[in-house]
Amino acid sequence: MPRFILNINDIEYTVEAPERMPILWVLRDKLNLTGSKFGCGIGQCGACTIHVDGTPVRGCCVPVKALEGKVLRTIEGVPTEHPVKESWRKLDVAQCGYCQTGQIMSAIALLDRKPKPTREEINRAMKGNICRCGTYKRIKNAIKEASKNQIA
Amino acid sequence: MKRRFFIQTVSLGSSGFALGAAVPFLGSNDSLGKKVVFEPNLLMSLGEDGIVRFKYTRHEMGQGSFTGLAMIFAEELGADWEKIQVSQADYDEKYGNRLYGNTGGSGTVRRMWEPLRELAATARTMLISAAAEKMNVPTEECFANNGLVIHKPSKQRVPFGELASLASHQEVPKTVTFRDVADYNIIGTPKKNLNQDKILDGKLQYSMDVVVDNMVYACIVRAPIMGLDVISFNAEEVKNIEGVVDVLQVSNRLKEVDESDTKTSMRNGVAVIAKDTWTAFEAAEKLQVEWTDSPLENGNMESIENDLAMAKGNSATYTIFETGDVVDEFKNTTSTFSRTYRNPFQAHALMEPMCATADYKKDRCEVWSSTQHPNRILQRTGKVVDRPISFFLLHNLPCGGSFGRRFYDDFITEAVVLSKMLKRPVKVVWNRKDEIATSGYHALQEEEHTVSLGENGKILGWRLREYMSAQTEELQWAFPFQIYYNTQRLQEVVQVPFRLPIMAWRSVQAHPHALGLESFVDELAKYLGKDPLDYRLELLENQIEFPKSFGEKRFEVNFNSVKEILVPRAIRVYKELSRLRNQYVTSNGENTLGFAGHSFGPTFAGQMAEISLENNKLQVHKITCVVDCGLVINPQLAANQIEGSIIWGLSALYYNNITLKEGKVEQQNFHDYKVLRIDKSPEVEVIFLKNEDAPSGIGEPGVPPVAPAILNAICNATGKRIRKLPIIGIDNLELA
Repeated sequence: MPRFILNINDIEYTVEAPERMPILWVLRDKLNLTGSKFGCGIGQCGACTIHVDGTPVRGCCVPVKALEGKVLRTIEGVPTEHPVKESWRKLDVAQCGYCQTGQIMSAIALLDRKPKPTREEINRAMKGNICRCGTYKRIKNAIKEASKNQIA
Repeated sequence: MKRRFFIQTVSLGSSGFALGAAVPFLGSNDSLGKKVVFEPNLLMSLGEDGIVRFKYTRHEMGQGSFTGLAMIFAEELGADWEKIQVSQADYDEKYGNRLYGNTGGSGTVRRMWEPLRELAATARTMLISAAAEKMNVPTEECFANNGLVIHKPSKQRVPFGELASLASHQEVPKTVTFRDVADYNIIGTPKKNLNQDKILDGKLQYSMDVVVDNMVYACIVRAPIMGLDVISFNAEEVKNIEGVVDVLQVSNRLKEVDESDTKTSMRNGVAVIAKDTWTAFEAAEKLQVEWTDSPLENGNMESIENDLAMAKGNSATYTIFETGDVVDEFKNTTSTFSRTYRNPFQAHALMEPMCATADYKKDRCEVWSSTQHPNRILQRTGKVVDRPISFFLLHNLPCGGSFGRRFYDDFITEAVVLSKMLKRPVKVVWNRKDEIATSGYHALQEEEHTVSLGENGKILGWRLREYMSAQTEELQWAFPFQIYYNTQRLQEVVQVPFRLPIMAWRSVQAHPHALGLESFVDELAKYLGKDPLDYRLELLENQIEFPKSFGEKRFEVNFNSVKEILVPRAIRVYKELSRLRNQYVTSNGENTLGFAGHSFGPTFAGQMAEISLENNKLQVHKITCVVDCGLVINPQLAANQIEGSIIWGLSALYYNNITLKEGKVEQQNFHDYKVLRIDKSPEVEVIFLKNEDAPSGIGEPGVPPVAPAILNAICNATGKRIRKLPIIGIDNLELA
């Protein structure tokens, strides 16, 4: 089985996996980094969102082979005190919480790119992340809150 | 509002409950190795460190009762909220149905309200006795608050931790007095979701995250139609795929058993066992299964339409209730008004697909999964492997959404059966298409309302015929209360032979019921030339004598609770909505309004939808929800529930539609089973009416009014009435 060297959350991992295996399953089943979630397997729900070189990607659709030499960040690599997590905490956004790690990764990528996003920009960046508990109102407000705090 | 339960003294002897659950004993070790010195009941222990450890005996699925139940317990104990530690209890029959019953029907807080306060008050009474003994003062002069017992006259105080040992020697009281709502300092405050921190760091463990030594992963190809069986499959070819461990047939051994209460919801299928989830998923794609034939006389949407049309001429399968001779009334009047509304099949599409891990050994089977009904599930799973409930150790983990789906045993039974066959731990993971296409569904249902009208539009008789699948009868506990009793009423069910398995779904029967009733009342008001919102209040405030008995006694309807709790709540909610409407009109609001309200259990929720329709593009700008749910335990988490319910209702109104072709579900994933995304989520405001009655449930009541409120608004804007869900074309609305 092929072997891959991956840089995840500033740690170097060596894993054996089929080259077509999506990074989501490498994280979950091989490395026990289970904060990235499985929701749909076809990039429709965003629960598996991670950062590759700072860009949000759907981990369920990206094969491990494509990620050697890239910088990967998962929810486990985002500090607890990160302004986005703080605003999520302040507004008590999560209900079941299953989609929220993906939501947070999408929100961080948005704010890194656009520190003061407009309503349309928030909608566009977050539209790929489904929440069936329906926490959208709080997600929008938490992004605005984090945007304020990041600048301050 | 009248105080019904505060400053209430409860005799524990009469229920035998707190005493039965009380097991005072001295000096044991809990699972953390911490010395426990006061363990007055099955749910609580107090150590010398002053930490109160509370066990949560329900299922947390995002509704927040993990936090809410702890708040109720801590409040009644007089504890310091910062010193409460909550953990999930494994399922154990020792808790009984009262402490570890099912989680559903928005009933966790409602059903645990009394037992939790009895247990906590008992423990508090013992702590106070211990403190009085220690301070050498009369118990009557002491009270507990914020983790301290305080001697009122001297202001001496003793922290709970210092009383732990002494409290365990106190006599268990025969009666206890509940704390006064005026003294509450935990209930009614916005405490954070206790799982929030773990969630944000990706550390909350869901069923999907379970890892057990030596475990293998299973993906099951299930019968595309419930009841089909496996004839053959290409086992050898799939077994040769790298990473595949085995390929096994799983069969529902109980298919002959027809008693609904013992029937497993598991489908027949073929399981691919692999060394990781992805390999199991991929190999399952290569599996070719030949299934037995099925007579599919109603396997297509056309045949379902035909069956529904045929059913219109059929007499009722059963009557839910009947007061007076409504049918006779119809014969005698010339003027009737009748409309029919349709709810389609809908899937749950919960974020975390179902998952269960089982480790089946000779003397015990350990299970890691998420279930709303551990007792029933283990009973059913147990029947399949011929073992009693006590054979199982079930770790009931928080789940990524359930909405009724995890009431059913199939995914757990599958893991148990496979682990037994393989003699090693097996984790069964459902793929998204399994969850959308081979599950159970919210039922397709038609609601046909007919009234006969006398002079001045007086309603003389009101008939509701509900056309529904036979299996829906299992959900009769969720049949909503009737709140309009202005006339003789008849409610009857005509069963239609749909073959799709039916399951509970957030707000269950209240969803189709509200769609029908609250659209119909609006239509009727307009037909009579009345304002729909005023008309609802007119109906509610001019009720005839409530029926004492009715038709066949197969449905438990507590008319007293309808009359004394629900109708006054509905009136208060609609009056508040009237006030909001006046405010909106006075402030020159530009959008069109629509209103609807409905009950779920004893909770009543009413909504005002603000919409606009430019060039047929529907925009829902804001939904304001007014709720009367009795005492609000946690205003923050309760508001979350209503906000989420509205998003759930919008998904149902805009998109959710499961269709059949040759008996099989046509949808597979989020691309063809759409749900609401953030860009279409409106502004939401939640208003809780102040009420100190017992808390009555918050997880589902926000759902039912959404569709009718918006459909009523659409009709107000266009004059056109949509009577079928989902609506077609949000951006270019199709108006019949």
